[in-house]
Amino acid sequence: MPGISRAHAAIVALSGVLAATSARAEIGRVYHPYVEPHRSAIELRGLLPLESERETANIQQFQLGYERSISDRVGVEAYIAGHKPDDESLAFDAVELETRWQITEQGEYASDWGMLLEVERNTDIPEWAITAWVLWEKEFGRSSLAINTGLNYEFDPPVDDPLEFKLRSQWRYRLSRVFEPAIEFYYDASTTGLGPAAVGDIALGKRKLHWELAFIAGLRQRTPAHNIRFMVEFEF
Amino acid sequence: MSWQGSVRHPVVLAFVAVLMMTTTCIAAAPQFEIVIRDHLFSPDQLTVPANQRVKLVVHNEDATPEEFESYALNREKVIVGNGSGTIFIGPLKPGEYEFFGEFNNATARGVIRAE
Repeated sequence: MPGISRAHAAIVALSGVLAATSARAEIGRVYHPYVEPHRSAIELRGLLPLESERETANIQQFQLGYERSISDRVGVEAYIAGHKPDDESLAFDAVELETRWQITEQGEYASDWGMLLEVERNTDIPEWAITAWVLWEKEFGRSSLAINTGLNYEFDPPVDDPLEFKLRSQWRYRLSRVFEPAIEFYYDASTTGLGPAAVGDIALGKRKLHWELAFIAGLRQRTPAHNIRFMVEFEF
Repeated sequence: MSWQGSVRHPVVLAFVAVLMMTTTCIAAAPQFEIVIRDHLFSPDQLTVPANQRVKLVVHNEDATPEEFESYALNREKVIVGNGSGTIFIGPLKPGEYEFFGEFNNATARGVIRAE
């Protein structure tokens, strides 16, 4: 399959480019390289840093989004994002648009591939940023490993070091549909985080409720020591 | 932009190595077909070779959509009414793997037997 070989080679080359850059980190959703056709979803996710003695800003983050597949392989998502620093009220100050592309059919090759393009406009600072992600997943029996590598570029206003490499990964064990234990890892210039997680689906007829909960420990001083990550997504 | 510094980081290098090791192409998978008609799968029992990747083509002859779903196979895919979808499964260990239609799971049920 020479066509597929070239596609894989291009993806590996792009991954190499992404991996060869550096910057900060974040704790968020680990994406899977799949698009469910004919589906819409409403999603709420949050990150709650717990109090610690580290000199890190304890800023709670929230995102509310709507997702819709526009073809068998492409989905689009729109979010509004809010931040709540200590002793301040919650303010929604950013909007984000995402396009996810499922490149390979699930299970057709040794691993599954996708891409995600994010465009973010922060109205508070203000700034524009774009992030290109390579989404990768592989099954190992009843386990699955998902890895996201991203390259973030802040282009307005110009900054000294506009490129930032990001890495997120999740290993999960398919114990049952409603409860799957997992381990998540996050890495970028300001964050190294690792911790246990759990995800699951609750069937509601033709609809579905997907949930995720993680406790991520910061492995270096620049990362909040303890973080709770949650997500609920209603698919219809 | 600190390209060289990043490349030296062991986490990054390990990740790139994992990516490159898993991009091997595989041989064409044998194909099997399943039909959805009157909210039933036909055949509702399908025998496929074990330890081998298999291609399922699911034809939905009903006017309404159906979701082929199997937690055991780790697959879910919506098949539109009067449409078709392709699902790759396996390699499977010998055994039985249940699947069902999420939108009509009282009637649309089946089993894939790997042997």
